[in-house]
Amino acid sequence: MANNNTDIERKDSNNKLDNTKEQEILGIQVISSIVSKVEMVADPSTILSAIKEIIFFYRLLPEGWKRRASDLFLKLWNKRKVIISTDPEQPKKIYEVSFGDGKLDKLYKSVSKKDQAIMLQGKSMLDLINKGLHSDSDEIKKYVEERYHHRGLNVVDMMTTKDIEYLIEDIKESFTSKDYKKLFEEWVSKYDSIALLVSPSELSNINIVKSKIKEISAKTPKDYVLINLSGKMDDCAALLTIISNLKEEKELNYSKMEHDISDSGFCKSLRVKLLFKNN
Amino acid sequence: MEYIQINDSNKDVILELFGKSLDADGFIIETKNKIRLICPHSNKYIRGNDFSILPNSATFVNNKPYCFAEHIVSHSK
Repeated sequence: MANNNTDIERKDSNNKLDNTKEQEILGIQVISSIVSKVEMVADPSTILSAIKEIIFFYRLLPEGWKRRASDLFLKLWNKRKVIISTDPEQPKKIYEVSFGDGKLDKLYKSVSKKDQAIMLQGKSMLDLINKGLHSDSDEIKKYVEERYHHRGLNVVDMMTTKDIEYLIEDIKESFTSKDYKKLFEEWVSKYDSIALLVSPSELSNINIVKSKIKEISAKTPKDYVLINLSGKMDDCAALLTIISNLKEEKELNYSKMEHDISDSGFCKSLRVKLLFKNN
Repeated sequence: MEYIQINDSNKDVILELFGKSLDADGFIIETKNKIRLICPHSNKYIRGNDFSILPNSATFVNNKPYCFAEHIVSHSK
């Protein structure tokens, strides 16, 4: 009986050795086949699969082949098509950002590197909001505030509310890159004197909301103010009522109110423009 | 851009391929001199359970949105 067990163990051990040897040979074959292709490979998905194969087989390779695999890996890595992460969704949110608007693209290229980084994060926040991922967007906003303070908040608020469209409206055909940068600076420094972001929780205290609207209307450097809210349809209606009452009760003499309610992920987004002259 | 997830089964190999390893406290170090890596955009040490390796000189960064954004703009023309 004891002899039988020893035979079985010996067979198992031989099988394991055979399997390891087979995998080692397979690994070498895979690496060899990548070697022949690596110089020509440019397609990101091919690079990705080659890198994945190297990572998978690396541990099984004999020492000399490990060095070859490592060199190959670096050649593929240097093609700059892959990001490796413990949480790939995180870099993806920023790396997949694209503005897709000629003037906005030019604006992005004209501002400082720091402002470019903030703009990327603002665009990424907007993309998350559009997917209904408001808390992920808020998480980015928290870091923006910590790192870039007031300026950062102004830039990302301008982007997530889409108020940046009004900045774009101010761009003239004759504008140079320097003019773009100057206009951006003006907007960033004055944005919170032009625009107000009302939180749904503030609506329970009408007087505070009224006073904030009157305050911003008094200090805006433009002939309009922008008021934004993201919440439920009832919240949008409540804010519109507050703004209408300001006029009816002669507390604020604006000449015209333009507003728009749209879907913002699972919420509604209210954008109001109060004009103070007959345009 | 393509993405690879780092998990417990491939982490050691990935770190080895970049000449890195983990110290006893779980931070990433240069294997050859045992010096802890510092994220160039957050100036903080990088934990082995929450990091990314970005293109352009294999930059190791903490998983923070501003680290990715600042890396992109610092390497754009």
